[in-house]
Amino acid sequence: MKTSKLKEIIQIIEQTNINILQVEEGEFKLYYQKNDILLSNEQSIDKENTEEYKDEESEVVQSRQPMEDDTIRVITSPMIGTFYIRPEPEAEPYVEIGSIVSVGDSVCVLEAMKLLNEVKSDINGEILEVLVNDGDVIEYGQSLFRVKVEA
Amino acid sequence: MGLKIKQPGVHATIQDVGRTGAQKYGVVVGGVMDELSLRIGNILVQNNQNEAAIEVMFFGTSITFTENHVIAITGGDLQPMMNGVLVPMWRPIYIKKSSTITFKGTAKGCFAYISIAGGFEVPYKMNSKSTFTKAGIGGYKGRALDKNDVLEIGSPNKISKAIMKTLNKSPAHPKWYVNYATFYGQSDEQIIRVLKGSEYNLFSKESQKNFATEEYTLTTQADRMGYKFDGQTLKQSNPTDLLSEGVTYGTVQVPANGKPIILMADRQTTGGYPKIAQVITADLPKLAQVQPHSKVKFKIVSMLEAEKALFTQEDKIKEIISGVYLKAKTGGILQ
Repeated sequence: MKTSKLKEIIQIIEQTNINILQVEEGEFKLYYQKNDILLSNEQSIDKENTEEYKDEESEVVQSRQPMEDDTIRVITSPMIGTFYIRPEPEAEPYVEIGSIVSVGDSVCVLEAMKLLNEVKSDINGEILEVLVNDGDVIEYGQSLFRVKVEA
Repeated sequence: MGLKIKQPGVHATIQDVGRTGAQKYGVVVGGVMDELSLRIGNILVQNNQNEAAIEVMFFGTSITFTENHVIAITGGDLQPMMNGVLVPMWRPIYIKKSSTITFKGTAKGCFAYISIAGGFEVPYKMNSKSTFTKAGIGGYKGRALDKNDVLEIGSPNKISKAIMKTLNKSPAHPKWYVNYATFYGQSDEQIIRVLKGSEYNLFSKESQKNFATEEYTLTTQADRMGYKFDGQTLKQSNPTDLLSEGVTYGTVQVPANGKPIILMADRQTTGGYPKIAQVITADLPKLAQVQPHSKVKFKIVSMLEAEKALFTQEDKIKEIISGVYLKAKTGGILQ
């Protein structure tokens, strides 16, 4: 592949949301990965979230930080994935409305690439609301649970 | 040194994907009962997918590790405990020197697999590490593992070492695990998909219907060679004698008593009973994990559907490969 063509491909990718690209052309193989995927996701999606939710629910914008009413906080998603409230289809849910959670307790799993990633609570408190549905595709930083912080 | 068998349990053997290519000489293929679990276990510790693992049947097996290792436990939920505490399955685990893993019971399934980064250093016999106990070949001295057996472990590859380093710092296992439920059904009654066998048409219309609609219960006459089922009797319209011919994993034979037998890993190479069906490759792991006294239903599918199921399964495995690789590469093994 010509250097100019390679340059062109990289320039195009840089302008998109694509993070990883793999191209094969005969003997030539290209694997391209943007610098620190997690970091760039964090920046771009956080920005998106801010814009998207500003009008609807101002509390979502404050993800990860205490809300105005600092007795209520949200647990946000650390990654992109499909949300499941149970570790496996026939198991008990990790949490329900009214469940008491402590820092480090698993609250749900997010599936990406057939791997289920446990999400841990970073709050001590009571689950007030589950903000997403089983099987929903979750974005990085999206709010998952509303939690009443333990006094 | 790598690990020492403290208690052999019901039956524990070294198995890889099997001894293929010598069936024409009458050599049994053998290998793991649940190939999918073996492959995923090896992916989790970054071995070759066909590297051998310890296959634990039912319960009682207890193993002490004499060095620090990264392992993964996959397959049926046989309640593995590390030093008395339940240890999660379907993810890499960092095992500290002198820790003991014991399989307590059969919560789900029948066969669990311990894959270890670096693999087991047992000699290849006819290109396989699999143990075939009846002939006394392969695995550890050609027999099931026994008390005080010591197994040597190969040196782990670069990525396994990276996993080891990361997991070395607590916690001893990551927060993620393989979505195994996507491969194995969850309900008590399993649907096992089959293709019509070469002698399907020799069976009476009623038997054909019973086979595809009635429940069949796995009897306790179930081992690594074959699973005998009980249920509605299957009869041929005009009983005929057949010449023996090649059989494979998942072939459903019907002997004169009319109760189906499914041939499993340690099956013989040829069989002379009429073959009503053939379990599709994608459902063999599910079948292997059916517990005695459990019910199954057979569902006849087309070759196209069988192929699609296998391709879907392979696609999922590819996703797992990429997922684990990315976790290992980006240091996200703990995330």
